[in-house]
Amino acid sequence: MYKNKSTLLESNELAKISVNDNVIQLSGNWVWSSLAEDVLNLEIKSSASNILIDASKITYLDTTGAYFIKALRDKFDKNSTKIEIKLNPDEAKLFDLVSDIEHYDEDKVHPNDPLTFTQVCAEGFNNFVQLFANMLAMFGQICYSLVTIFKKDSPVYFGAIASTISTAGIGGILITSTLCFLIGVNLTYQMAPQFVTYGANVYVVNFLGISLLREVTPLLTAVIVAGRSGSAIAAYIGTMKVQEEIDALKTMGVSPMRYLILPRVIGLILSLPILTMIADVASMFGGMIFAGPLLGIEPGLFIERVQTAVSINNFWVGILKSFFFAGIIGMVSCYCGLQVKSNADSIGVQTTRSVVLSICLIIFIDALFAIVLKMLGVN
Amino acid sequence: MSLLNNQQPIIEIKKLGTAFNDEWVHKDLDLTIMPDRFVTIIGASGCGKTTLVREIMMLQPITSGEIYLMGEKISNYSLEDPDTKRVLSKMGMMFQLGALYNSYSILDNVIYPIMEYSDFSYELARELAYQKLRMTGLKEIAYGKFPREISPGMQKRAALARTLALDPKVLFLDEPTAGLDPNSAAAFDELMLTLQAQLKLTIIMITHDLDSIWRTSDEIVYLSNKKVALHDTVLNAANYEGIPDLYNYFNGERGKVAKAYYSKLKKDNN
Repeated sequence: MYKNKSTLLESNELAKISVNDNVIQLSGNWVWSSLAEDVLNLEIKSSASNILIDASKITYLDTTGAYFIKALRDKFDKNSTKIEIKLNPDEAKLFDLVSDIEHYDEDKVHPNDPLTFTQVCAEGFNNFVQLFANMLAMFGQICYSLVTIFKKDSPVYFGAIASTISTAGIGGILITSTLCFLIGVNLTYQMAPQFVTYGANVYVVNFLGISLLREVTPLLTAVIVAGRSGSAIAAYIGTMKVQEEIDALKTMGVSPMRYLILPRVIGLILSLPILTMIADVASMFGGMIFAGPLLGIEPGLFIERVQTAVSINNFWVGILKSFFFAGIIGMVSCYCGLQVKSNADSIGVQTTRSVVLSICLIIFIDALFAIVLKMLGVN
Repeated sequence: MSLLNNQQPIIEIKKLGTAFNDEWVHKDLDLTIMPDRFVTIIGASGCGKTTLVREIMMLQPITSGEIYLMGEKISNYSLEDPDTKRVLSKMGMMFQLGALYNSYSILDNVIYPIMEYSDFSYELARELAYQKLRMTGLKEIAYGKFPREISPGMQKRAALARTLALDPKVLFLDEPTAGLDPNSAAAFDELMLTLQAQLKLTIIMITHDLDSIWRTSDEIVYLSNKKVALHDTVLNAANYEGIPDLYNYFNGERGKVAKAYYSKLKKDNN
């Protein structure tokens, strides 16, 4: 298809090397595309005290070729022999450029020794403590600016709160309720054979009521919101940080804490419990639909059993937890957004981190709640 | 044109046309660049300087016309074609912000193209990369670091080393001195001149830095009205009165100081 394939190279000639007594004759093209590495393994038997490397017959030389000549020179130089190199004037200029550069030295490139295991552990622990302290400081700042809302003449940015509720809350209704509906279906479907074995069909309602309302739905909703809105917040604030918009805000006397972070945290705290309520209904609905054909529990019976067998406390515990989850998502994602440094890959790193950190903290708090509420006897 | 002699041109552009949504950026643009020259493309913002370079580098499809590199028609190659790689190894482009791979260290950035193209072992590729980095005057302490950890001036040097990794014949520089302090910019000019002389490079530069143009360039290509409006030596271009915008470029408030200094210097040298 391409007739003039070789026009770009002066010729397709390979690099040639021949040894004649104490003369090493080089010819052909000495460029990276025509050189093979084993040229450097050349051995010379001659014990002559001076060696001539004759490179004047080389057709074309590039820096790789010049490096090869230099490497040959340095190789024979060790045996206390005199080396002479014959080059054309044009190529001599190129050779001069590389001939003085010494070989790669690991110590110069990586002067510090790699970290030992203990150092890595210490650094990791240090980072963890630092993170904990920073989060605590962030929490303090948020509380402080929350209090100053009630001060005279301090603006509250209702628009930003509304926009957070709109994107994180209303925008998330469909996905959270769909997924929770499917989880309700799934749990009923998986557990039905167990209940049938013991003839305890009707107890599926107790099981679903407690597991879904108290644990699964609040947790799942919070995880979805952390992935969906938390990452968006971190990326948004991170982008602002990279483009120095946060600093621009500060120069206008606007506190980013009050203008950016507080509205998002408040918006999430208002919308996540409502999302959880909607998801509660959806997941119980999923369970109810499948309880009929699988266990013979008609919807009427199901609703009646929910009212008698499932304590309303289960629902309230789930809602209570979702307030805390919302606070964690807002705080962590804003914190990670503000941690973005001025290089491009930092936004991606911090966005990922915000999701991972919020999910970890959500599950940690969830476990804490389970233990504390058990001790308090809330059933 | 007086600038052309009987040598074979290294880059030849014939009747090039580029259209974005029926709006022509270039139309019937002809340009011939001879080997071993330092050519600077200038023109108003948005006149298609970067587009022209991107088209030669095959980063952007052209609408009509032909582009030849050392006599070989390259405007019909695509990146999926294995032959394209061979052509691209003859050209190198240094992007405005360096475009170093962020996830690689500086040394690995330069090793990467060598490993991609050649059959050399990692140790040899490392030696070659080390040599290229040393040629650009970057200190060894920076080689093991990541691009984000070094200064913009050092990033440009590292980017230049990566561009030179495969000894290209043609080097494209997109605003190499933008964002550098005057000392680093001047040092970079000298570095390019040295490398051009020793590696026999053809350099095509896009810049708005008048000092850099005067110091480094042999020829000026002025793009205007979708065509090459002028292609001449720097001194001639600076004194050409036929195009008011070009005349103001070199003789405006900012330009006349550089012009007065360098045109005297160039006359003394001749």
